[in-house]
Amino acid sequence: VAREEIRIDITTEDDASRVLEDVAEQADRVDAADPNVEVTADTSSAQADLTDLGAKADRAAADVAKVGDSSDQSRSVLANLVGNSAQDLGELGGVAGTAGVAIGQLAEYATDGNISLRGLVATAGPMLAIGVAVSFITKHMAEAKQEAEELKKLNAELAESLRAGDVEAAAEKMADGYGDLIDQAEAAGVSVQDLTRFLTTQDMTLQELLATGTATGDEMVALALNVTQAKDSFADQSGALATNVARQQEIQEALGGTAGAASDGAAATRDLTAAYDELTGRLSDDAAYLDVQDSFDDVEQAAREAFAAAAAGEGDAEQAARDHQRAVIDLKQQVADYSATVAEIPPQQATEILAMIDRGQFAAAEAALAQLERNRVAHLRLEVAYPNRPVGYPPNAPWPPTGAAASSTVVNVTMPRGMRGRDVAAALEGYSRRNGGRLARR
Amino acid sequence: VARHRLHELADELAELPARATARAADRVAELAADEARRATGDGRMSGMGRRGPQLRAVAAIRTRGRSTTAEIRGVPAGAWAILQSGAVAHVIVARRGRVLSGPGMRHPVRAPVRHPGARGKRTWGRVLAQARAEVPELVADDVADIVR
Repeated sequence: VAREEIRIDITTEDDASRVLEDVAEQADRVDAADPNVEVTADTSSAQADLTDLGAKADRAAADVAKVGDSSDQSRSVLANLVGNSAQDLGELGGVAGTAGVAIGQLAEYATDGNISLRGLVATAGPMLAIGVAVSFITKHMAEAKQEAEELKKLNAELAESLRAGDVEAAAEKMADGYGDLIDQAEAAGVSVQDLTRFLTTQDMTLQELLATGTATGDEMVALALNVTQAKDSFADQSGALATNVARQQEIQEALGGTAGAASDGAAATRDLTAAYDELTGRLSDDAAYLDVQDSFDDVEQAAREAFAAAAAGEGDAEQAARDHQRAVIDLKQQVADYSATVAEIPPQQATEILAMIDRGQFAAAEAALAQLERNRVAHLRLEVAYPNRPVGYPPNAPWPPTGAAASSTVVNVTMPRGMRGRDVAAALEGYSRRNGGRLARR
Repeated sequence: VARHRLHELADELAELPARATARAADRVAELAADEARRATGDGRMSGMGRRGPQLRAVAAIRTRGRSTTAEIRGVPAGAWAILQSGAVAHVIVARRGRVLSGPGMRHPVRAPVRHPGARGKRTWGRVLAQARAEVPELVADDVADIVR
């Protein structure tokens, strides 16, 4: 009896920690680059894969059973099995925690079929690791997402409570919510007055409202459905609003008439001022950017005129050249102001753009500014791949096994305006290089 | 999840192979001792030597990079091999100056003894079967403790 038979090998491999460490380092780097950066995780693809978990479990079990029936219980059969169901098993292992069972079934078959446990464990180990990595990332990124959403909700509630007392604003917001419906009604020939009457009172029935319109067919059916829904939600919202008004009146009464009214008035004024500032601030930001763009156009126009004048040998060529020079100076001033005060573009970026203007690269400068102006979204695709060919894996079999380990998590990095996309791209590419191309940019 | 927690989890997972493998190896050694007692009554292989050797399992654990391997062997291998697969009929000759004694013999003899052979009890196979059922679950539990 061979001594080799009286032996059990157990191999435990960890690939998950490396993947995690990389993700954590990535998050650190992004955070260090800009504390305002928002890292969100899109786990939709991973989650979609999990929806048919039961089916995958059945399929993996069926694969095991199929091989068990086969007379050829060689290693290559196992390799095929691993190739076919590695993804299923990996997901099961990580997410459902039943990798032990699945791998146990494999082990049962493999040992009965003269396949050494050593080879089997070497093959099964990476599958478990993959499962762990996928489940971990899916789970914790989902948690992160949930936390972010909860925070957002909390902020909204906080803002809402800060705004308590501002009934007008709430009503206005409510009215905004019906903007689309008003548009739809007008398109169908129903007046805003009639729509408002239908929504806010019981004086008008749906038939009466629709009778005032001119549209027919599908358009009218859609409107009928929407206004019916809107009436219901309006009733709910008005109820909430009425409760709020009643509460405020109670507070005012408790505060004692004038004093309460005065403080209420002051609060309303503050809210109004803040809202106005916010709106004008945003408008002036937009206007400032448009001004900068206009300046670029002016420079282009001045340059064209100056060159045309010089080429034609006109008398005012010198004047045209001076106009051009002035336009360039104006442009630089505009860009500098805009960068510093409105867009909060980092000084080194602003300097680069100004240098481009100095070099006469106006189109490039405009493009760079537009690039910095918009928000950035980088999509990172994190692929969890097999590690190196395990010991004992058949030398002729393909590695990684065909169709294996296609699980991936998409990490979206959204950066505020002013950050350079290439900084993130460079970090990602470096990361990808160090990890054998496991992270692919999309 | 907080970034520092990501680092912590990565560290915990990195330590997992060594810890989980050691735990699994201990468990397999326990299983081997239990199965040996079940097969022989006292965990010793009678008919070999004076007292019969104690049947046990020893593990050699090696960590290489992110992979830890435990090589668990049944010792003495010969005794385990006979328990597992049996032995063909053979003749046992006493060494010079020694006599042969064993179960079923009324007295020690000097002459060669014909061993009738023995059927294997598949004892190590049972150890293996239990290990393959329990070990993945042990590892999965360790993973779950960390990731949970």
